[in-house]
Amino acid sequence: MREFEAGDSRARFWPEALTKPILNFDAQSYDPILTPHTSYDPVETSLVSLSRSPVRAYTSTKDYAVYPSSRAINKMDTYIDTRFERLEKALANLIDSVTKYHPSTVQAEELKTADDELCKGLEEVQTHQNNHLKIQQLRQLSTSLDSQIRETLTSLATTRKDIVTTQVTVYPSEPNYPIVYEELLSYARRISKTSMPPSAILNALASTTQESQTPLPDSQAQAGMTPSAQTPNPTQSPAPINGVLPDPSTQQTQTSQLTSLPENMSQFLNPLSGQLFFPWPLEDKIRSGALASNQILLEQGIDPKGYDPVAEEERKRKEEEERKEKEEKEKQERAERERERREELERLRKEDLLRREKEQAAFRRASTAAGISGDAAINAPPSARPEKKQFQFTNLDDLDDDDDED
Amino acid sequence: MASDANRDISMGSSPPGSATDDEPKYGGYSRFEIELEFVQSLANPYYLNHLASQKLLTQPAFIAYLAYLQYWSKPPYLKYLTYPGPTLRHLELLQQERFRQDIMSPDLVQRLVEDEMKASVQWHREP
Repeated sequence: MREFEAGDSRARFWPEALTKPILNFDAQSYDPILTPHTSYDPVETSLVSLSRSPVRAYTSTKDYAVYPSSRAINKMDTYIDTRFERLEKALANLIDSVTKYHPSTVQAEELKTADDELCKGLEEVQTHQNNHLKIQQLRQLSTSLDSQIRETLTSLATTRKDIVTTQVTVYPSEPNYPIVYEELLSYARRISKTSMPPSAILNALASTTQESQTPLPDSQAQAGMTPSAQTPNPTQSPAPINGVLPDPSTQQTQTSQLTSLPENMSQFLNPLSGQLFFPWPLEDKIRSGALASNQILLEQGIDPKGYDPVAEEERKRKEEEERKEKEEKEKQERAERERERREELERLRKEDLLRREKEQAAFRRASTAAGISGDAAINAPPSARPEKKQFQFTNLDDLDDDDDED
Repeated sequence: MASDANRDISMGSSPPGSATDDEPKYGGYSRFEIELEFVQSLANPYYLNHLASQKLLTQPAFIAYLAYLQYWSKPPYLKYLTYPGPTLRHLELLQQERFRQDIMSPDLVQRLVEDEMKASVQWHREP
């Protein structure tokens, strides 16, 4: 009776049924302090606690108020049965008393109260049934919530597993370098000549490998089509063969013979053909590099450290220039001096001449002055005489010389 | 070939930085130029054979220099290599004792030559 008093039992039903399992698993299996840190896994812990299901948790509680077990129903049966029995007894007593023609009001009262009791009991049964239904509903609700919790936890666990096992992009631990595309392109252009053979070689290689790889179908097709053709180049111009002429084989061979140059001439047209390619610096390059020049310096006994041949060359050139300039200057100075000397000489000679002329003029003046004073007519050529004398003298001198020679 | 024997004297712990004017020059060339030239010369298998025949590949100083030269395999120096493939391959191989010994054999030289010639034709064809 006490158990079914609604206010009490329901108030205890909710917290007991729903909160207890959760409290249980919190307290028992989820202890962050006791659990070692490495194996600490809240989801797994909760999964473990799921095995202790909430339903079982509250079935195991000893509270009958919340659970309409068979005992409770039996109690209900006995409860209503006693009321029925009481009513029957009262009724039987009343009928008994009536049949004995001795009706008793007390018994009638008893029947009435018994009937009232029964009515009350039936109401009680009704409440009981309602409660039972409600409990069933709540049980359904709780199981659905349980399953929901279970699903949520399972999905949480699987999601966690997914997250843990997801392949993430592993960035290399090495330092990352940004790539400037212009730099990249310029580098590609720079190394294109040294990292890949020229296209002529590549084409030649490709054609040879193609021919060597698929010799059969080609030769068969050629044999079927043009048995006499010796230089068919199917990749060059297949369209006119197929489209234009029904019997193009001879013409094709003719044109190809006409258009293709002899081997030795095409070599001149394509300067890259026959060129060898190596993906590394060749010996002559190594021999003409900085290391080789340093080696030469070493062999000459010069320490290459701090020695710059270009600067040295420059220095020598400058010295040479300076020397030349100096020579030039000296030459100029010499010429200048020469010129001055010549001018000086010239000047001296002129002065000499002038002086002599002056002297002569003075002499003439003196002689004319003498002529005026003495005989002018006889001494008309006064200057001729000494000249003649001089001439004779020289003449004599000449003769003298001749004599000496003879 | 030149001045390899005395290179380790100037070999500092760090690769040459940006060329400054007061940097000593060797025969008019900077350390950067000389080391770039040398590391690229290593791309030539015949040159490797030559170095081995000069007994240079067994000298500890030279081996240390080869280890030091690995800075060419990283930016910003990488982009100066004109023959990147064989250069880096040989630089890597030269770090191995076995390779330094075996390069004496002309067979290995021939194999390197063939491999790298083939690679230079094939590398860009691969899908």
